This record gives sequence, structure tokens and C-alpha cells, in this order.
Amino acid sequence: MTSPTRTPPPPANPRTRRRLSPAGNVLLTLFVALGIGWLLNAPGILKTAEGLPLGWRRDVALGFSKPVAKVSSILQLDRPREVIQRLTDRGGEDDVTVALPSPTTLPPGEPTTTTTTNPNQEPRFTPETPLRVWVGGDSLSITPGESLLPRLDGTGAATAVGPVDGHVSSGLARPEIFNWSQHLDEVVATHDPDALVLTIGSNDDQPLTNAPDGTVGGVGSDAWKEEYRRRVGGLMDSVATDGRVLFWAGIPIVRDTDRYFRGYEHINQIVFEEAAKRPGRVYYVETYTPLSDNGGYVDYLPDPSGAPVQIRTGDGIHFTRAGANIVADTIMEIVNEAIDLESWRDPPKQQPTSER
Amino acid sequence: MLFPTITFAIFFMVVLPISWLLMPRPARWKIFILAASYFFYGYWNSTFVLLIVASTLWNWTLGGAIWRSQSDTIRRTWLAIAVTGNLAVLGYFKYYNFFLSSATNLLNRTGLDVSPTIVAITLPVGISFFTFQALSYVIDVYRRETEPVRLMEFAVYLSFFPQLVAGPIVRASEFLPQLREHHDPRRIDATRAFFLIFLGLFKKVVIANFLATEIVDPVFGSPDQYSALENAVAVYGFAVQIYADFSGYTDIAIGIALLLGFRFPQNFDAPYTSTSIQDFWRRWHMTLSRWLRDYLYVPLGGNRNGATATYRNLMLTMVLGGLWHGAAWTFVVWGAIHGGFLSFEHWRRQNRLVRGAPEPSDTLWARTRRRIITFNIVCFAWVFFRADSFQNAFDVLSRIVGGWGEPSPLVTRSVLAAIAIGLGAQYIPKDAMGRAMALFSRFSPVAQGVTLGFGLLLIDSLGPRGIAPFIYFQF
Repeated sequence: MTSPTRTPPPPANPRTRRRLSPAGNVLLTLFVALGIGWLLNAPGILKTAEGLPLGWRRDVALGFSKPVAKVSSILQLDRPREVIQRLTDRGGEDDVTVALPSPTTLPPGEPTTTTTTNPNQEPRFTPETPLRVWVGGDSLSITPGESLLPRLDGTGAATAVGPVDGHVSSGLARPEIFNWSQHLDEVVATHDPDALVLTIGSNDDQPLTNAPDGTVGGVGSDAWKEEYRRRVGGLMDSVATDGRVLFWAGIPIVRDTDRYFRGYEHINQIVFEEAAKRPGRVYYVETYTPLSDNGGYVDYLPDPSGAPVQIRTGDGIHFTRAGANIVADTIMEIVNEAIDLESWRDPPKQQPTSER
Repeated sequence: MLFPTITFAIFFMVVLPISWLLMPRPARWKIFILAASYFFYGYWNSTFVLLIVASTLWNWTLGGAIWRSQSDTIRRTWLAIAVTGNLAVLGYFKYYNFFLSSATNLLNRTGLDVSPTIVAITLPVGISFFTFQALSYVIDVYRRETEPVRLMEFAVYLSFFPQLVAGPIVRASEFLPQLREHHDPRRIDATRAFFLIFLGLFKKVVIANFLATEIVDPVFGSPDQYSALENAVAVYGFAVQIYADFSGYTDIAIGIALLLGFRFPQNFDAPYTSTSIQDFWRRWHMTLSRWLRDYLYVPLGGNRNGATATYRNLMLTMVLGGLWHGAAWTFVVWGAIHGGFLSFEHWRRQNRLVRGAPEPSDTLWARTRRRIITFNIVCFAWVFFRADSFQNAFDVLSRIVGGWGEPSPLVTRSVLAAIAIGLGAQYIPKDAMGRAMALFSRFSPVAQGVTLGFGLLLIDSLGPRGIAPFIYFQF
């Protein structure tokens, strides 16, 4: 680095000529920018820190973010952000709500039934009064949800209340990252759907934060299962009310079978049992079998013509479109068992005329 | 490590002062910046640092061997080994499963039931970019256009963190001389760097992420569920999204390099103002276009061997360019559409010359008409780029043709505004931007910091929660 300086020549036009800066000034500018930026965005940065994976990085991030958020609040420097978010219909986005409801209808215990079909008469929907369905969940909900929407539409008696409401990396384990209970309350209040198709759980094989006694570790331990059951049951009870039906898709086999049997199997079992306690209100959709080959993980399965098609993406967790179609078909089977979306096609029956 | 994160901000605030302090001692600076670059890359996956180290050793060793050999045959042999090695690594990580599934589909269609196990291959971030940079080095050395450099310099060139994961694709002849220049710490073009970084962040975090979540992802996910208008707006939305995403990234990369005292080539120049597809490729991902031209199109013969060979070379270059973007047939079709239109434009130009016809008129109306046509051709091709399958692409296109008059709740004023800003910004005169930068450069450092702090407020509070990965990271 001994040759003479080759700084880019300044622009010829004096009105567009820029002053060059010494490194010290650059650093000062950056420090001021980041400091002011942090103070102005303190609530959002605190929420980001809350959502970091549990461990020392999160502890350090929270250690810095909490006092800055406090200073920002005292000086009211968080107000402009609040105003901008309110003006763009995103007010309250920085709030961290960690409360999760407990089950309200049934005490925890053994399932009263193991059936997943509606024991009562199926509710009937028509093109004039269609079933209004919300579809969402974690990243595993997105492609199957996209495949499910046209299938619901194809019945002629069901309609989605919006696009797939997918939130990656979310679940019930870390409500500080994304609080599904709060979000579904908002969904119900906004859209008032007749049915919800929910896929969560694949990010929940981790310690459960914000439990009544703090964080519950040991995935699969009795304490962990008890707390996870409370969250699942509480969510089901808060959503499946007033005749609203919840379809909860379980987690399929994944390539990392150790991961499945260490965590996902417990999650599926809990969701299955809690759904079974709420017949007619909550339906568990089992996705393990349709995506496996004799119980084992496979990347390919035969399509209807018998030719193998790739059903899983390279990560061994998510679905290709063909795999998503299998999940969507499985969900539709359970929906059709539970809800009458077809009889509107039947010709109206002739009223018998009485002969005198 | 992603640029728009607090982690990167902390990393950079440590690297920047140390880098300038060590600049007067080049040997120490190189060790430091290499370590920082490996840390930057290893923060995502430390194992793949070994891949960059291996690529460095492979290409540096073979570059040296090519340079030292006097026999053309031996030089060509070394070059072939170097290129094959690079393409083999790229092929394994990026295309193995693609070719496996394509071969499987082909065999299944012939009646053979084959279901191979997909190998779980993690695609190393930025592999296409650093492999292309390594290839440009060995080819330039073979052509005697670049002299081999010391191992440490080559390692810094290949792994320099601002451009490591998504370009711009900087040539050895552009970067290596800068390593030997004196960098004056009193004369940093910080204003341009700040503008590039903050506009890049705005493009990525606000425009690209907003359009992705509000319209592009839902519509491309299930096009049948949406109206013709929503499908059409989603296609235009994707055109703006990918521009904002990728040009935003390279703006940040160029700005960060500038703060460290290095100049990178421009990568975008208002591509949606292009008046032809050829013009588009002079303005879009310019460093890749240049690479494809110099290392693929020209060696294939370029336009030197008659019309048919020119069309073949254009098609081949663009199809391979498409495949570079992703391991899927939809990318091949995207490249073929561009290759087809480039060939058509070439044919029209030649035809006009042969007939002695005048040049097309250059009135405002004619330019506007050509811009609209070009933009729509580019958008048509983007459908195949974005779609996850041909079926998906055809669903989007068929909905655009036949779903008019239905309600379109996803086409909100905010979505239209984001598209309008993304397109309109390309027509801002360069002089206006120059004047804004000149004004900003006269602020005191604290006033500059406060202004940028409020810029961060806008970016963070207007952008959707979470940082979506840059689209071009997967390439």
C-alpha cells in the first residue's frame, strides 16, 4: 500500500461535490446514528432480543436492551415509532404479551374418547352460507395451506377468510416471539371464522418460556408435558367456542427421526389427546402416516399414477408442492368427515304428497 | 451474518476502526480482514469456512501453476483442472439433487420406478459468487491479464466480507490493485457510503419485505385464490421486490466497502428504465452480465461466427445464466426467455442494417413505449423465476388472462404505493441525488448521525417484523 492515493475524483459540478470525511468523523457519525436509532426503535429492539434463542446471547441482548428501552420510554423517544406504527395500522406490534390461557372446560386427564370424527350431526354449509375458514400456523402450514385453499374453494361451500396466515419459527414454546393465543383471539374477533386449520408444534421441541413457574426445560419430561398440555388445551378452549371448529394438523415424520421421537412424538400425542377431549370442537389431523412409507421417512412417494414424486424439500422437514397436496388432502378428508360441504349439491328432495 | 441486523452493526463497529488503524501496516491488515471475513462467514456455518479456505488454496495453487507453465498444452490442462474443480464443487452443493430428481423423473416416465434418497445438502451461502470470482482469477491468469498474487492477497480477495455472500462479482483486476494502494484515512467518501447503506436498507427492509409479505408470497402460493388484478399486481410487485432486495443488498455491500476504503463496481443502473432487453442486461446485475459476457459468451464465439452461431451463443449464455440463479427448470426457462428476446433484438438490428432502414425514432413517446414493452417482457420472465413450478407459473399467467372483475383485497393503496416508489425511484435524476449527497456531506458528524438515526427509525418501524433472507443468498 505504498503507491500514491487514488481517491475517486470529485464530481465536476460544484453543486454535487461532496466533502470527504476523516475516519474519526465516520465513526462518530455511525455511533450517533446507531445510538439515536436504538433509542428511537428501543421497543422493537427489545422485542427482537426477547425472541433470540435461549442462552447467553439473549441474556446479553436483554441486559442492554431493557435499560435502553426504559430510557427511551422516560424520554418519550419511543413515541415517534408508536405514531408511525399506528398510522400504518401496525399499532401494538412491539407489545410483548406472554400470557397463555389454561384449559377451561375439562380438567387435565385421560381422553374421554379417541375418535376424531364428529359424533353429532354434521353442520351443513352451502354456497350461500359458506364455511368461512382461517388457515395458518408455523412454516409447515404455508405450502399445505396454499394447497388447501383451492380445495376448500372447490367444494363450493367453503371460503378462506384470507391468505395463509403463516408465521415462521413460531409455536407455543416461546410466546414472547409470537403469541398464538393472542393472535388467534384477534383472528376470531376480526374474521369470525367458522373453522380454523392450525399447524403448529414443529418449533416447540425446546424449553417452554413464560410458564407460571418460569421456564420449563427437559423436552418430553413430565413437567414439560404438563405445561405443554396446558398450553395446547388452553388454546383449543379459547378458539373452539361458539360453534367454531378447530382442525389441528400434527407434525409429520421428519428426516431426523431422533428429533421426531425426542420431541415431536410427545407434541403430537398431547395434541391428539387434547383434541379427543373436545369432540365435535377440535379435530386432530394425523399427517405422520400419509407422508411415511411403512412408518419410515421417505423423500419420494408414488403419485396417483404410481410414479414416485418428491414430497419433501432438501431440509427433510418442509414439503414440496406434491407433499403439501398430500397434507391438504388429508386435512380435507377430516374436514369433510366433520362438516357437510357436499350435500348442497344433492337435488332437493320432493316433498311427499299425501293422498286422501 | 445478515447486514440489516444488530449483530452485523456491532461486528462492523469493531472492524471499521481496527481496519483503519491497521491500514498503514498492510501485512497485519490483511491478516485482520481475513480473520474478520472468515468470522463473518463462519457466524452462519463455521464448517463452510473450510470450503472457502479449500477454494482459496485450490485456485491460488492452480493460478500459479498456469502462470509458471510455458507450454500452452500444460497451461490449458491446468486451467481445465481448475475450472472442473470449481464447477464440481458448485455442481455438488447446488445441482446434485436437481439433477438427481430430473434424472429420476425421466426414468420414471420411461417406466422405471426409481426413488432415490435425496441427500441432505446444505447450500453454502454465496457459493455461486465466490466460485465465479475464483474462476475469473484463474481464467485471467491464463489469459495473462492478471499476474498471480500472494496467497494472503488472494485469500482476502476471495473472502472480503462485504461482497462475500451476494456480490457484486468483483474481478481480481479490480480488487487486487486496491490492496496495494495507499488508503488515506482522512479522505473517506462517507456520504456516498451512508446514502448507499441507508437506501439499501430501506429498499430491502421496507419495500422488498413489505411486497413479499403483503402480496407476492400469498398470490404465488395459491394463484387460483386471487383475482386477475391481484395476480398481475403480484407479478409487478415481484419485479420491484427482487430489484429492491438484490440492489438493496449490493448497495449496502458497496457502501460498507467504501467505508473500509475499497471501491466496488456498480451492479444496478435503474434497470426498469431499459428500452430493450439488451439495455436491461446492461443495467441489471451488471457484474454478472459482464462475467457471462467475458467468460462464456465471448469464448463461445460471441457474434463473430454468423447469425446462427450468435443466436446459439446468446441462448446458451442466458440459459446457463438462468441455471446459475437456481437449480430448477423454471430458471432455465427464465434464461431462455431472455435469450430468445436478445436473439430477436439482434435479428431485428441486423435486418434493419441489411435493409438500410433508419434507426428507430428516439422521441419521448417512442422511448416510453419501448420501456413499457421491455418492462412487461421482463415481468413475464419473472413469473418463471418466482414460480416454484411450471404449473405455478401457468396458474399465475392463466389467472391474469381470465379472472377480471373479482374483488381484489390484496391490492391495497400501500401495495400500489410501494410498487410506484420502487419504479419511480429509478427515474430520479442522478444530479438530484448528487446534490442531496453534497448537502449532507456539509453537515457536522453529529448532525449526520442524528439524520441517519431518524432514517433508522423510518426503516425499522415501517418494515415488517423479522428480517427475511436476501433472495440472492440462495444463489
